[in-house]
Amino acid sequence: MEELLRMEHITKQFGSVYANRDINLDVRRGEVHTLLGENGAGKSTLMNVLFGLYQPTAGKIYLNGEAVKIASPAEAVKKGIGMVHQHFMLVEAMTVLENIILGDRRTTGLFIDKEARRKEILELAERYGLDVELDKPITEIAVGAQQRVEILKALYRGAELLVLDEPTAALTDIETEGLFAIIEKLKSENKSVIFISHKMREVMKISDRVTVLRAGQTVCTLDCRGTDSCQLANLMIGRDLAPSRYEKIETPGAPVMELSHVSFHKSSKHNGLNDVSLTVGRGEIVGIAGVDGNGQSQLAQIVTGVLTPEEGVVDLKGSTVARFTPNGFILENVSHIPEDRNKMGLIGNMSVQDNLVLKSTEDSRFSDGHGLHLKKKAIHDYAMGMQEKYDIRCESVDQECRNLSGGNQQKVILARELEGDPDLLVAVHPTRGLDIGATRYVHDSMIDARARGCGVLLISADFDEVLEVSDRIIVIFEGQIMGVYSGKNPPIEEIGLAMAGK
Amino acid sequence: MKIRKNLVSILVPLASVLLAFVIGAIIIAALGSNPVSAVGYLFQGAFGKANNIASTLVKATPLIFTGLCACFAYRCGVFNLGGEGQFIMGSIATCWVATTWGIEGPGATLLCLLFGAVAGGLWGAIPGILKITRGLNEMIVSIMLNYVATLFMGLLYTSVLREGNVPQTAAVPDATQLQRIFPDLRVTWGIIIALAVAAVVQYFLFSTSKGFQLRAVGLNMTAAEFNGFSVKKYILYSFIVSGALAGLGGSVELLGTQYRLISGYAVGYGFDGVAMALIAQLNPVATVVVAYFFAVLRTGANTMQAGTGVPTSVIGIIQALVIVFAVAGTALVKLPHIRQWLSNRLEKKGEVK
Repeated sequence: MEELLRMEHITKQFGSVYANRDINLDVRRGEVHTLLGENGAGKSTLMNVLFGLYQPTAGKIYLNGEAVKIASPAEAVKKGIGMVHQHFMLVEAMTVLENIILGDRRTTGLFIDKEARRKEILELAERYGLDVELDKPITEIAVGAQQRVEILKALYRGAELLVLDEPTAALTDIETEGLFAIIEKLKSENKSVIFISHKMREVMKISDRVTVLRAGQTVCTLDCRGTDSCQLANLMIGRDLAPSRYEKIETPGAPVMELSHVSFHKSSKHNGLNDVSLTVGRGEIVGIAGVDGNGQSQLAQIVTGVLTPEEGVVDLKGSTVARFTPNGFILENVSHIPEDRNKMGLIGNMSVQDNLVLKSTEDSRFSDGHGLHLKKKAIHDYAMGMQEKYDIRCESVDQECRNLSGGNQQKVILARELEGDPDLLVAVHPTRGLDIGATRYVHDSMIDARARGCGVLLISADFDEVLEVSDRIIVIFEGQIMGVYSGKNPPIEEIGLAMAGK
Repeated sequence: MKIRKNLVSILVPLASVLLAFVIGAIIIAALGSNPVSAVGYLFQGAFGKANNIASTLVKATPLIFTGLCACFAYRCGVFNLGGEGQFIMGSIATCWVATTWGIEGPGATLLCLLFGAVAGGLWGAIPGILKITRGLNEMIVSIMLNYVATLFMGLLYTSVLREGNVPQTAAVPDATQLQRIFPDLRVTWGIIIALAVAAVVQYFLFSTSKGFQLRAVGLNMTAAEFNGFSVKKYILYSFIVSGALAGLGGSVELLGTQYRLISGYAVGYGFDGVAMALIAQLNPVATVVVAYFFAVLRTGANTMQAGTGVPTSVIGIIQALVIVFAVAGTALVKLPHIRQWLSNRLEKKGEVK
């Protein structure tokens, strides 16, 4: 088979962080090539480079054997690359037909010959078996149909290579079957597809070849017939793990938080929880492992009072939670390192010192008369102390938090959340985007908190991190608990399969 | 870092004023007058005699209140464009108490002020409640309520509160009116109330825990929610307080300056307040300064027209230009490359020192 696309030694650097490092990928005509990797493995960055959204720091792209430079998505489209994003890029108020011809070069004139365009589109739809109703507005068609519109849109613009970014995430099983039929049809018409997914079953079913990415680097490219999902899962997660640096605790203290049969948006596989029961004891770290988007956000928000479960009971330090409010949990001494530090954790336009005392301005240390008069000097001194203790690198504690690096922002949150000796710490992706030094700092802090008797619930899509610090590992998949494993000598292969839903 | 930031936030409005005056001068020259003497008359009108200074303060008083009203809500991240309606509702409540309850004297004055603030607060609560329970856009609701308040006032001074055959209400009794600070000057205790309220707002926002939390909600609602603040409560309370500030302003205006409701009462005060709060970059003390500056322009405009024949509408143009430049300037210094350039420049200056 003839080669259509080759990406050679692609490196993309953001500041000092490598999102892609020396990645190689080649796609042949008429093949389905899967990009497999965990969140943060660099799949999206690589595809954004291909689609012209990012310029690579180093590396070359060849299309049909010719070196090309793709400066913008418009240029990518012109060169025959079509992208179907995970979140569709459709104008909801417009009809299917209007969405397909929108912005296409055939419709840039003053008048639009809709009938001619309709004929072209209908022919195309027929050829690829893409069943769409051209005159319905987007809001009135199902998600699967919207995806077909996106595919048709890309084909109408002459795509030879179609990138499908996690196309099955929002689909029902039947819709997924339909999508696979379309992909087969595309193959038979000699189009190429890059399929991004981390669902083993689907990858094995549809792909010809698989390229596995891990931590921004290519692990290998395999022929699908010569491998199995177990091998792929291991390659994706990485087996060459160094043993954990931390001692693992096998007998935790009294339970500090217990969830029994908690459910939330049960029918939603990716944003819900289904009958989840788990316990976090004092002085232990419970790690929730799982591929991102399997209900972790919802779990984190329930155990911090942001969301109220639809079914089931949450017990906190022995008493059942009746009302779910963030403040109620804070008063129960639950600390939270939220998944998005800028959006949920910090007030970016406020200073480091303001963020450090965010929750405790009514405390007598920081104000007189229960908040009536802030003791600015005391707050400043406290902040200076925290800056020292948590090694927050900033020009001054008056500096706005948004100007700090990610690692230092996270240290501000750590200082705020750990200083009150919490009974429970909920840490969600606590090291996402941090460099090795900051990551180690966060891990050490969690271990220290554990030593002080704090129960820690660590929710992370980074499997290495879960293995590194957890005393117990719970695997979550599509909102359900797949298994509970000891953090001491964990059965990595078994856990890897559980994460893939087996 | 902090000093640098403050410097920029003072320079931007100053530059806007200067630029607006330059353009104003060009317009005056184009009209065939001497810009220098026109501006001379302007400042003479605002500061020339003790009574001119007093008039300026009288004009500044309602603007301070509506400016604070806009400032307070913005600080909580919501947009109260209904200052005018809340101002009017405060005036209506005051008028009702002062002219129909049959009470007079300082006690009545206090009661009037209280009712004014409460009425403004209740009127301000409506967009707040609709926002937090139904998710309606607070800007649209509060603007629409301005019309409701204006027309309601019209209904009152033409029907139940009408005095005689003229479409206006009875005047506030002399003993209930806000008294003059100095017997010979027009300025009343209203300006003192305005300054005191501004000081309280400043203190609340920057020196109390609740004010701190309110600002946190205004800057990042999601993070505030995650950190245990009840965002909806803050939004509602900020609307009520914001409305009460405007309502109190209406009360002061009626008791100290206008004495009766009449067609054209309070037109434009609400939006003036929004503009002033923006120029002052949501700082209550700065809002007072900006309100005073606008009052200077307005008092001086008449003297300028009398002295040079330059129409007062030129001053209207200058005012509008100040608003445009200040808002554009504030946005400009937030652009990444401009910010980079500024911080480079200012750092160099610092090194020289």
